[in-house]
Amino acid sequence: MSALVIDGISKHLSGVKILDNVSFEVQEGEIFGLIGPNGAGKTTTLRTIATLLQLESGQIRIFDQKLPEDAGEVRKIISYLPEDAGAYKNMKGREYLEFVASFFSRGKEAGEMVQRGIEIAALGDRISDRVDTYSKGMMRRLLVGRALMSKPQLAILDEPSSGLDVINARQVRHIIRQASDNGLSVLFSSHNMLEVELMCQRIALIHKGRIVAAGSPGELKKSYGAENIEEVFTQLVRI
Amino acid sequence: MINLIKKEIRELLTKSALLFFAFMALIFVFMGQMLSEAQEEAAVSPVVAVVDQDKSHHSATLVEAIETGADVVYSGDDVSRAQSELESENGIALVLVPGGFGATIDSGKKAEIEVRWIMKGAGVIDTLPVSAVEAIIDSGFKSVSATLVEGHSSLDPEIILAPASSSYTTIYEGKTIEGVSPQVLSGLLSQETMFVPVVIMMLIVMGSSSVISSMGLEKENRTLETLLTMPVNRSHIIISKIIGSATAGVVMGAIYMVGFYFYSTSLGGQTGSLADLGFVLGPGDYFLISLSLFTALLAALCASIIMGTFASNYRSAQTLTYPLIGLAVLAMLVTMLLDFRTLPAMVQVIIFAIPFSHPMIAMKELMVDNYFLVLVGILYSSLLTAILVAVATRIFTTDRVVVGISIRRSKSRADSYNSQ
Repeated sequence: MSALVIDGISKHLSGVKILDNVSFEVQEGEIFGLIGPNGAGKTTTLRTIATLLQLESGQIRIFDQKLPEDAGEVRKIISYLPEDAGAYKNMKGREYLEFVASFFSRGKEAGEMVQRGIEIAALGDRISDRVDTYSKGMMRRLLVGRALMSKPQLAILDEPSSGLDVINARQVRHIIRQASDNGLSVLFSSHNMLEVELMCQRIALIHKGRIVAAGSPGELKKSYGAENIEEVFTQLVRI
Repeated sequence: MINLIKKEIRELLTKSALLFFAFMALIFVFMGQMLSEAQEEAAVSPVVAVVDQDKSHHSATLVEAIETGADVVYSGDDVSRAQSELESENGIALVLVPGGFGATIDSGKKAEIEVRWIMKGAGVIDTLPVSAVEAIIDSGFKSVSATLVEGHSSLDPEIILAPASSSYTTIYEGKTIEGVSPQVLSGLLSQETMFVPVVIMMLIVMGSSSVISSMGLEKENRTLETLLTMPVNRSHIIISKIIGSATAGVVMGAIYMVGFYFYSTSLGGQTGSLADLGFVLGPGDYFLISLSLFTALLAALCASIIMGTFASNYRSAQTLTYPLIGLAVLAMLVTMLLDFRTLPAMVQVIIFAIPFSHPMIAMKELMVDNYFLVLVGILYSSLLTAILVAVATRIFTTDRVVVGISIRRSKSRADSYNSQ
């Protein structure tokens, strides 16, 4: 079953065409990477899927739900992690997770959700500290914990390891991979093409708001006779 | 060093900051013009009626002096005719010279005349014509002094120099207040109510600023994006922000109110004086003031949320508070210095349209049992709040809440990328 089907979506912001007939599909349980340079349209695509931006044309289906009609239902089964996101700085890590859990469930179930978030974030005792004392890596782990603790069916992660050091980036990638092994479908964007090659079963390359190629990293490298995805992208952009 | 100074100036003197200060300057120009027009009007002969029940040489001298300085719409001995003429001609004072006025002076005692004031408003400007009438009466007393000196009177020099005094009665909003001039009454009302516009202005500024800043911070930290993708109704997000900020605003306002209460009571316990004159606020009045304040605050916070959607970060959010601060300051200055009911119609419309002005006006209006304006103000602010909540909810379903004014940034980035 498809976790996500994007069919011909286009989007203008302030009169500028940001997305141009974008189509791709994410299978259930797979990690799908949307790759492209800054300004290519990755964030706009992810925001549109996450119900933040209005759908202008085309179709989006997430499991059995259609956008924009079922936006309310879609929000119950997705989890979105914006690029460079933060948390409420006057809250402690645990309080932030409790705050988010309260939107999904109550009582014991919410408590279990928070516990799951704490385990994913793996911040140890620092989970009881105020968020404004966290390093960037700790903040990202807290937010990944927040994004995955509600057991979403589809996680939409915008540059989840951007700006992190090697150790923190590895930890974040490990968490995402583990969640995917447990059946989570993941759509994640990155401009780091080598990272995506490591993580994703399938990818789509986006350039100037258009999908210029899609497939598994192996297939794409073979088709373009390239050693890595970076080379594939370079060849595609030159065309 | 110069580069650093240039950078600081460029960051601080933004277009929006300059526009705000230009707006504030315009407010002062506007206030100055109003004051100068009122002073010019006050310089024109004030409209009065004179009733001479004495018909003595001294009373004739006094009446003659008043007729020279003022626009006398009635001069005779019928009080009720004088009263009706005065009201029909929109006059401000009835000067009554009682029988025995001249005889009292000639007997070596100080005589007294009665001045009945028709007070139109409690603003500073409204009391300017009162000074003019008082000056004319004083000149009349001096004329009487002059006739006494000319007659080589053997009277006490103090009586010659001040042969008479005035006893005042002021009619304001249907209430007759004995022994008080409009200036004293206006002063008492201002002293009693002046802290209300200041507190409300502070409340509006702090409440609006906290909402807009919260929106700016949410956008800067991307917490709003996270929140908007959760299973929560968007109107609940808006209402929560409004209620949270209103609560914080009310707490902050209460603290300020306590401070100002002690400040005003330490000025000389004027509360008792106003109560003695019959200007008392009951529990119902305080409820209406609170309601007026609450609805105005809600309207301000809703407007702030809408403004906040334009913010892309904390810094731009701070700039967006300027228009609301400007409106709050305008409402405060106008209600502190002027009386709403004596303002020109156009200015009344502008001030009424600013919801923050209603609780500022409410206290003065309720002191004279004028409930209509207060109730209409509450209704207006409530309707405006409902409209603004609907607009804010609508905006929260559009792209603006996410992209804000950073659309331009996206555009330029896309443009620059496309041009490569």
